[in-house]
Amino acid sequence: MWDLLIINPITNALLWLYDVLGNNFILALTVFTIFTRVLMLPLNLKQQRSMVKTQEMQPQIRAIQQKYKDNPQKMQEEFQKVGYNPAESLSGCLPLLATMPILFGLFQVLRLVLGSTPQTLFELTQRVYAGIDLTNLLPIESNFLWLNLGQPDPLYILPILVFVTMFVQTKFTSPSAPKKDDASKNKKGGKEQSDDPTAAMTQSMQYTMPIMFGFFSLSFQSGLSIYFILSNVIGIVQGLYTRRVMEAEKEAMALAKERKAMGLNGDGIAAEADVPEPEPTPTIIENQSKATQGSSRSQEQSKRKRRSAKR
Amino acid sequence: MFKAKRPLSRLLLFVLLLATLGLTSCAGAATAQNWSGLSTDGENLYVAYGQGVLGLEASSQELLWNFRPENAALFFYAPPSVANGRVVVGDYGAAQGLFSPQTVVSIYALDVTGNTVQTEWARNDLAKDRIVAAPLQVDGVAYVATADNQLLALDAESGDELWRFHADFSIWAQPTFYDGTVFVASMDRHLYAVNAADGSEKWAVELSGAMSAQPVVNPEENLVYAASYDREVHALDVATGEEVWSVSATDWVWSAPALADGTLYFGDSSGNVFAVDAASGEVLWQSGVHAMNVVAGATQNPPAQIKGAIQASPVVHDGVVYVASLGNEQSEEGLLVALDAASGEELWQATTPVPLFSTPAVVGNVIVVAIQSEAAILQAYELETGDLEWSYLPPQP
Repeated sequence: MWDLLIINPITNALLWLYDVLGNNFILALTVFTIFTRVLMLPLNLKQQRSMVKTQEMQPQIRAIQQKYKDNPQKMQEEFQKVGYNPAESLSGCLPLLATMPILFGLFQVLRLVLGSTPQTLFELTQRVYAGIDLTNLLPIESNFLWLNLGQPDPLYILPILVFVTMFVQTKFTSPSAPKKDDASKNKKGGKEQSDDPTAAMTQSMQYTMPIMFGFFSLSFQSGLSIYFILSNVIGIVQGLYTRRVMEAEKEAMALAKERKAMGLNGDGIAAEADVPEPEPTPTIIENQSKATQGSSRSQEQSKRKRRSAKR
Repeated sequence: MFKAKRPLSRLLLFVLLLATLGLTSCAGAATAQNWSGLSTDGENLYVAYGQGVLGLEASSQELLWNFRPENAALFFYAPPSVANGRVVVGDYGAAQGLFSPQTVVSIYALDVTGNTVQTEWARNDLAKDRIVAAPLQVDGVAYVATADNQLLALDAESGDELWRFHADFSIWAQPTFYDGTVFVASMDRHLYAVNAADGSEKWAVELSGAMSAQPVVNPEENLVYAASYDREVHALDVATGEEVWSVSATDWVWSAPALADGTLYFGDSSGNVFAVDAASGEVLWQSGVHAMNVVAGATQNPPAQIKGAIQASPVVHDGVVYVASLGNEQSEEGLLVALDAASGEELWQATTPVPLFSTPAVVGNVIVVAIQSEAAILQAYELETGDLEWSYLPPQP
């Protein structure tokens, strides 16, 4: 099943791309990487949005946690009220888990396609679809600059690039952690910021992932390292783009709120008096520290001020 | 419920760690990387079987020696070259360390006189990729082809490099020596004629397919035969490389043809065996190597004939062509078939425990096949009947 669903399609996709792109394996790998990133785009965007949303709700979440620590059922109900679903954190892992089969698959496929033994070539012949003429494709050119794409980089450049690009990507795609001052203001009972599991996970991922993948790349085929690097670069661009989109959305929402507060509709005309006020976002907030709210608001206001100053 | 998030992050890290371990173990896994290599000097058998290289007395199946380097990560699959009590063999290389990108490939000369093994010399600075092809020893020179596109000429006595010739891609085929010229076929689709004295190129001919088959020289006709993945066997003029004729197969021809009594025999990946006139290329006969569909010892009715691909070179002995085949794909059993050299008529067939990739060797009254199974690394079949004579598994260290 693994071969049928992962190995054979990736093998044939790479061979087909190699064929149509003028027998250039690095180009084939680039197009393949872009394709897989596009395929994962909805999942990645969802994850990024979910992370940012969770991050923004942290003060509320912490307050609920604190208040209902002895009553998990009530805690759940309150989470639901504020529109937070802890199970959604799972979706944060999905893009990573979803890319794992491609990663493992590509490792095997590169061994097959760029293999330097008769056995790997024989295995390759068993996997090629009818429309691909392997006779015309052989030998598959595996050299690119100083690299043999089927072997590790002897100059250690790719592992470093993998580390750097993955680190930058993780930075760009993770929501920025609240400042320590804010966090300590939000604390009750002296709990540290690292007690926030999402932030803790994000922070640990920011370092462990690049280090681990950098180590992978020391002993893996250069082709796989190039896949990592390309994938990370695309991830960085995607992260930047998503940030912009989300900031624009936020601004639009803030503007809409302001307009509403001023009693204007979308055309700048005063709203009718009998239009009912929208229900306030449910809050939990009986004993929640006002400092938290104050801090969040003042943060938002200062952000807005900065943005308008930039404009 | 909320508390479950912390274990979740741990779970994720755990998955990543597993992935790391999985991927790194993939990189250094001690799995077979190729099929075994077998050669003979007519008396003893020499097998590169993965973990090492061994010498075996064929008549008694007595282990003469077993060469296993200290580095357990090293593997040997290229058939050893044997001449004057010296075995020259190359390994598949190993990384210098767990995360090292540097692969070290070694070429060894082993003194095997007196049924013992001693390393005469070992060179780990000559090749950067695997030794897939069997080396060739001629007149005190060892010709070693490498997967990093080189043909090396080494002093067989000292291991000193005499010259090196660069192809454009890997060389998996054993070189052939004839009249001061070394012929070598490369995966870069070229057949090269190289001056044995200095390594200069005499001529190079590009064919339409990659080649992993050793060139075969026919001195009587001044022809050199090149079998290719372009589904053809080409006959080229020895002196100029000009094509004299070519004959079509039905699929890739992986291995060298066998030349005997003016006839050239070869098999292809679709399980067909061809006999052609070595002078003209005229097809004398064509025969399919079929495994009968046998289930639980009984031939199915009607019998479905299953073709097994042929990766190995045919072996011709006393008017019989022996063909090793991948056999039945479903049952993953190999097939050894004996065909009458004159007519192509099947004389017998024997089923082997695993598909046969390596070229068999005739020693005494048996034909020996190299296999990679837990039960044996060699099996010998009686030449006349195809009955299994013996199996051999080396003692575990």
